[in-house]
Amino acid sequence: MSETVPPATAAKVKGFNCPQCGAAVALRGFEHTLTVVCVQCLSVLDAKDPNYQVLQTFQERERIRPLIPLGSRGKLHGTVYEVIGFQERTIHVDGMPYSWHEYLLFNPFQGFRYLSQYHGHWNDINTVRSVPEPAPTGGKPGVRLLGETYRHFQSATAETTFVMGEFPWQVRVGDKAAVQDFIAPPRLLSAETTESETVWSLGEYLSGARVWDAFQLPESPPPATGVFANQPSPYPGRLRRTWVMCLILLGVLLNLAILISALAGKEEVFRQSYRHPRELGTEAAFVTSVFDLPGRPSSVELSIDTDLRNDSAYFSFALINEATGQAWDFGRQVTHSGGGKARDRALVPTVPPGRYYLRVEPELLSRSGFLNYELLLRRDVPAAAFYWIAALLLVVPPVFVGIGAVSFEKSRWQESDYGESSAASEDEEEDEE
Amino acid sequence: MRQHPFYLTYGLIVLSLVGLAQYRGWSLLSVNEVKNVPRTVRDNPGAYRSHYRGFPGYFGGK
Amino acid sequence: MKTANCPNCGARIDFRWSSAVQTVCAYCRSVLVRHDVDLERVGQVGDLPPDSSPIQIAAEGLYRQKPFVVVGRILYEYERGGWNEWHLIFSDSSSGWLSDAQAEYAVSFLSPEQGSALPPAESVHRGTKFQWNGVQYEVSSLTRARYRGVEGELPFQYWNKEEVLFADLRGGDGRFATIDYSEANPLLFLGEAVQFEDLRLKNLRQFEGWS
Repeated sequence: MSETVPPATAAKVKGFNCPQCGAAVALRGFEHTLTVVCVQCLSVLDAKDPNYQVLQTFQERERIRPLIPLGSRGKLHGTVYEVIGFQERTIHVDGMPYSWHEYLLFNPFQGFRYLSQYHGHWNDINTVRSVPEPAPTGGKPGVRLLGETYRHFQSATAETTFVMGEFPWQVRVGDKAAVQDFIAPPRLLSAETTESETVWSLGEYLSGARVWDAFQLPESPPPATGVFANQPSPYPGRLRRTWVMCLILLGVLLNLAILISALAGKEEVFRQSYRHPRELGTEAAFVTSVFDLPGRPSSVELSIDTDLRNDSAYFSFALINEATGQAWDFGRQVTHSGGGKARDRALVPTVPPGRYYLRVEPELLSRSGFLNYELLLRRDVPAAAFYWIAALLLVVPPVFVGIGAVSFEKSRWQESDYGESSAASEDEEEDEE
Repeated sequence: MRQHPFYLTYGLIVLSLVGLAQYRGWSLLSVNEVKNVPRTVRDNPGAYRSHYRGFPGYFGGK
Repeated sequence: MKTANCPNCGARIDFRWSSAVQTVCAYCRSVLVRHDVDLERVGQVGDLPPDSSPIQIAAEGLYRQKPFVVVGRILYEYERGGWNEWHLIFSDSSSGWLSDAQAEYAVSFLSPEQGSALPPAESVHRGTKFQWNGVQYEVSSLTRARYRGVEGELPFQYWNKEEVLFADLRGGDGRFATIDYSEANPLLFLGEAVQFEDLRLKNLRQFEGWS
């Protein structure tokens, strides 16, 4: 095809000298740039004016150095962007100023994006053109966009407190906009309202490491302190997996208990019934006949089954090894309460095999009638208490993780309009930039 | 599962301890172990007194 | 493709689109209206101001699997900047528009709903809702723009405008509507926002420092 229409000439980067201080200024945003800030004297200039008229001069104020230098290029979402603008914006909450930085990224084909940075937390932001609809969130106001519901986090007036580089809109230090933030971690939806319109933008949380990697910056990114509005919680997946692991371990515990119960001997080694007249009160101590404890060292369970009625008795016991003279000394209080029978059990630990007898000393109140009771000894009886202790120990870690998750979310919302008044918490990292 | 090596290890230790406890016949009962009870106790059980009698015993009344 | 000669300067004019109503001579910038037999010079436009749209005439792309060629443009300016409406011709000779506002792109088409179906300019305010083709739209902004110029082939006569009023409407799913109140009969365009990479544009403009 013969080209009778001359093709548009390649766009060139315009350069000029700052009318305020004479320094060289380049317009790397081509014709998109409306306002440009002289890098030397920080005067705000009109990029569309033939003489680049000064719109605002730099007032005595600290000069801020952006962490990503202007002119840096980095790759995000497969596209190379150049940092052409930078601003610091400040809100006031409970009288305290909070400032963050915004980096304007430009690609001649893909347009503009933003990176924001606050206390080491980064966000990758783009304007959205669909208007979110109001949505109920059970409590806080919310909006819905592209199938996701965002909860209101904060409303504040943002003031531009420092500018550098180029902008495709009118910018002055001192500009104010009403900002409303809604979160659905890791995303953040912001509405910025000026007199003329409301602009919505969607941000996605980014770690400092990703930013440093994209722009190939030296050293390390600033560490992230505290929990940021849309910072994704590391907990949900972890919490679920921990509880799953807990259920698995509890299942193993249950199977272990069943197995142990099946394998345990629980043999009866001694059983005897007794009958004492009550009038005599406390009984004299007596010893049982000798019995055998075979097998490996194991627990020995003593069961006392009485016919006490509305009464109580104390039994003092000693399990004595006939050969070695080693004794296990303990006592049991048996009480009749409400319905049922008065009975009790004791589990003597790790008794070596051998021939044993039991010394018994019942202490009773004197009254009429008889006390009938039976003593039963069984060996190798599992202790149920250990299963409950194990279950409790197994549940402790997921509970701790759960507490961590709740604490994380509390820290997150502490920074919002819904947190406690920050006047009380001066020990937190709510310091100025 | 492999993402929680600490919890898994901890859980296995707990379960092993349970198994060990039941095998060795451990108990939570507070028992006084006394060595060398004289053989004469067999004939005179009333003479026996534990060296560390911790319990006040039951002597009637409240 | 039809060929003609500019009645003012004699330069050769090649038409990319058989249904073009108006074109601009690239050399003398005469606005030419096409009649059956010849071209009539109706006026002249100044040089277009410098602009950073990456799109240029003869660029090619794809919208919803339909290939198109960029054949013309209208350039507007308003208090916060400017934007381009690039005129697209699809392979089936239908006509569409690609708007480029600071690298935010949208493709729209002239809606058959015209005239009385459209609200008059006085009754349109921010937040007013309308419905066309079963889709709800809400007025997001009213823009008073200055017409800055035209280039290439257009499907209607469009030049030498004073001030133009546009109503921009947003619907769900990135849908977009514009009412152009420059003529006595308002024109409605319906479309949607598009991503740059989805258009698969070729033969784009070059930028210094960007390969």
